[in-house]
Amino acid sequence: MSAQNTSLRGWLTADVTTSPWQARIQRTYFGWRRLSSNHLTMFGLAVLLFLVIIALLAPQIAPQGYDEQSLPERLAAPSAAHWFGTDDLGRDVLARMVYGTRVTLMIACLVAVIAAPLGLLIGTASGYFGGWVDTVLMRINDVFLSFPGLILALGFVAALGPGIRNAVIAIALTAWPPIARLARAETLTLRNADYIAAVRIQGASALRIILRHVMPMCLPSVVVRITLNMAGIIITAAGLGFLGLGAQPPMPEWGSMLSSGRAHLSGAWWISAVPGIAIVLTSLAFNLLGDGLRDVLDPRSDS
Amino acid sequence: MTAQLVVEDLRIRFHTARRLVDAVRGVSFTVGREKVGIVGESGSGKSMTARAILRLSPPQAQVTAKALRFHEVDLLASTERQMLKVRGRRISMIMQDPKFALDPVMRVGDQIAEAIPADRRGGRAQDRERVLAMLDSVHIRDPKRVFGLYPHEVSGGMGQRIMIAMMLMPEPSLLIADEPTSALDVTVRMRVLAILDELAAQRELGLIFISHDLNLVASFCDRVLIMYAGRIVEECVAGELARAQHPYTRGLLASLPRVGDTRARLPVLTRDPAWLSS
Amino acid sequence: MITVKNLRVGFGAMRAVDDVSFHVDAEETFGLVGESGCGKSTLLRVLCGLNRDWQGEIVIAGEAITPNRSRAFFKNVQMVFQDPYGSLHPRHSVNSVLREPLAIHGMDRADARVAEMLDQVGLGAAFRYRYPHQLSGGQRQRLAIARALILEPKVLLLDEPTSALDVSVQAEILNLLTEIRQTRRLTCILVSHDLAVISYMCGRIGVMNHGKILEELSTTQLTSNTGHHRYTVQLLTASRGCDHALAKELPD
Repeated sequence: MSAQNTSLRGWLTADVTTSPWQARIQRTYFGWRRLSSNHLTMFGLAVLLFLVIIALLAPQIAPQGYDEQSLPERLAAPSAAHWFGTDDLGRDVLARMVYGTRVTLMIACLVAVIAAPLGLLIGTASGYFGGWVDTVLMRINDVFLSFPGLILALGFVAALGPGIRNAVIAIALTAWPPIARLARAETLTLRNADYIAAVRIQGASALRIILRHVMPMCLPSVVVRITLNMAGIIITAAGLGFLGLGAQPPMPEWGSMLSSGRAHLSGAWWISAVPGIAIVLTSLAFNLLGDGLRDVLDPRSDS
Repeated sequence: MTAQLVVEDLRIRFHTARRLVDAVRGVSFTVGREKVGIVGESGSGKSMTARAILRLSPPQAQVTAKALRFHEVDLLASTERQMLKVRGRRISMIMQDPKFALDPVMRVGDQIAEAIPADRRGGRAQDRERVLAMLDSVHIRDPKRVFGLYPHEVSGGMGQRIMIAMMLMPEPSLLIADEPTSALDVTVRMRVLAILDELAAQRELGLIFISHDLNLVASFCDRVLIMYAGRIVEECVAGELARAQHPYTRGLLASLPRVGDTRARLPVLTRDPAWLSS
Repeated sequence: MITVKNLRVGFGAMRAVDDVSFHVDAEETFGLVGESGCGKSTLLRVLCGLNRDWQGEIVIAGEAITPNRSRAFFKNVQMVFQDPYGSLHPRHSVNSVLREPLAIHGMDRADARVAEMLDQVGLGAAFRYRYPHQLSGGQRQRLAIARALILEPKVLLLDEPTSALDVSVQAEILNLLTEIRQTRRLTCILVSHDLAVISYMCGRIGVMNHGKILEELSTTQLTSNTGHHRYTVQLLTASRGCDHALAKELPD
């Protein structure tokens, strides 16, 4: 076993790499080592992994369905039967929390998957081409940026109708402008670098330059930014849910759970407190991860 | 000539994230009222040595020496307060790029006036006169106009002369110049060096001139110390560079192209690992 | 091979290149020497196609050149940049850097070409999958040269190729360039502020100042040190080291 370990370790730390894959895996390995040396980041990552596992195994973990009502048991305090108590319709809060993890993480991921590439593309194009392309795209960007996130999301949902799918689209539309700004700023500094000039004089098309040369340099900042923005995204989703515009009942979404507990705050505090704490913890975890990623992914540092 | 600065067995080590770095490994030399050049490539330890003299090494550096003395001051054992009396007063330092060493939001004249030590200040008018006299001594043609300029309004060569003026205001007896002309054009360089030469002679300054340009240092200084991998591998009298002994020096000199060079290939310096421990 | 006539970049008093004309024969290495701000780098950037705001005539290999270059042009004319630390993409491996121009121009046998090129510039197969931060300054510059040559250009433009390198590495790179231009029969324009490097590498030299070519001379003429433009004499003497007498004459 130890002989196998040394050869794997040897392969990972070899000075002379013999294939592109080995080189890339080595870089990832060294990046991981740096990331894992930061304990706070590891805590954030652990929390997120924990949530992902819960989300994946929700049907197995939840003690019961999320919409099983039991009116005689409504507003029951946390006990052995219901670890987080029950809500105003007698539904088990723990079960709803577990299924709610799926909803929250899905919203967060979908928004990231839509907003980040969109922002990256618009930002790099704007920064690279300059001129009227830049002006037009940035003015559009300004329009979106000038609205507070929640208000803009509200506006979109009001136009498109409530529901999770529309909530995701709405939040994504508010999340891309800062990413685009960031990507544009990075592109502007990179545009005059010698390595960009070198590939230009090879006859590369603008598309190739943007995709293969500019974007990889912007990607780290964008990844960090979107991770740090996750907290905001989750809270915006919770806000929409709170206002009844996100996930519709009976779907368990942490924000709407928080909202439904408003009327019972003095008596059955657990209905709001548990989802509230979960939102805070998740946001914190994303922030810690984002901070750690920033230290590792900065392209200007050596491996 | 009596030595102003005595350095004996200076060693500087660093703990970086990965390993222990021996930046300077047992450097010894003295500087009197003369121009001494320290030549080396990047990583040879020359800048580290200079900074160690002024106790300006990075905080994670460990500096040890058998002796590090400037006149009667023990530089190694001095407290920070005692060093404040030496730094910028008795020993001054000129850096490479005046753009980064001058405060961009302060007028040049005011910056130079700031360099006058507090106990030697007169009134505003008197200080101004002293600054103008200093600007004149570095051969700036219109001192009154230059007094009121901002650093971004002056050219590289003039900026460097302003730095020299600023560093000489407190009337030090030793001047350390860390690559003072590397960022300057060739003709401007000559001008600045001539001024340094004149001032060093007039004021009987000791000068430590650090550079990577062997020929330049050899033509400007009285003595040349050549550093490699943290050690001084050779010491030469300036005019006698051609008689250098150490293979590193000889290799370096041979590998430099010259105007009128007819060699088909330039001999490449091969580094002998034995040099690391000679 | 290269003819430049009345090249102008910039307007009015702010001309980076002011009515410059010169000619470079095939397989010749022409040097442009001057101090910072004289326009030599701008001139190179115009020639390689990076700078499109110019007026005048440029003819390369019999073809008149317009501000917009065709892809075929880039196959013929390549450039090596000054800063080895800035001219390589930090995220691209050596292999990637060399394959890219081949992919852009659809050249065959990419793998073999990359391996050959690495050998020719003195980097072996061991370097193939490394990243720039794992290479020394001299190695990076070798890679930059390999990148320029992999398209098999006829013209190579060199913008201060050794200025950012340690003195001991400079000789290696200059030797490599000498060897390569001979085996590949390249026409080169070398720009530098270092008169010694230029006179070693070039047969003919143009001295530039304030956007103009003050004087053109051969290397042998340079060393004879007579009858030159005053500025050339200054450069010559200054490049020999510190001369106290000269320094006092120089204008402010």
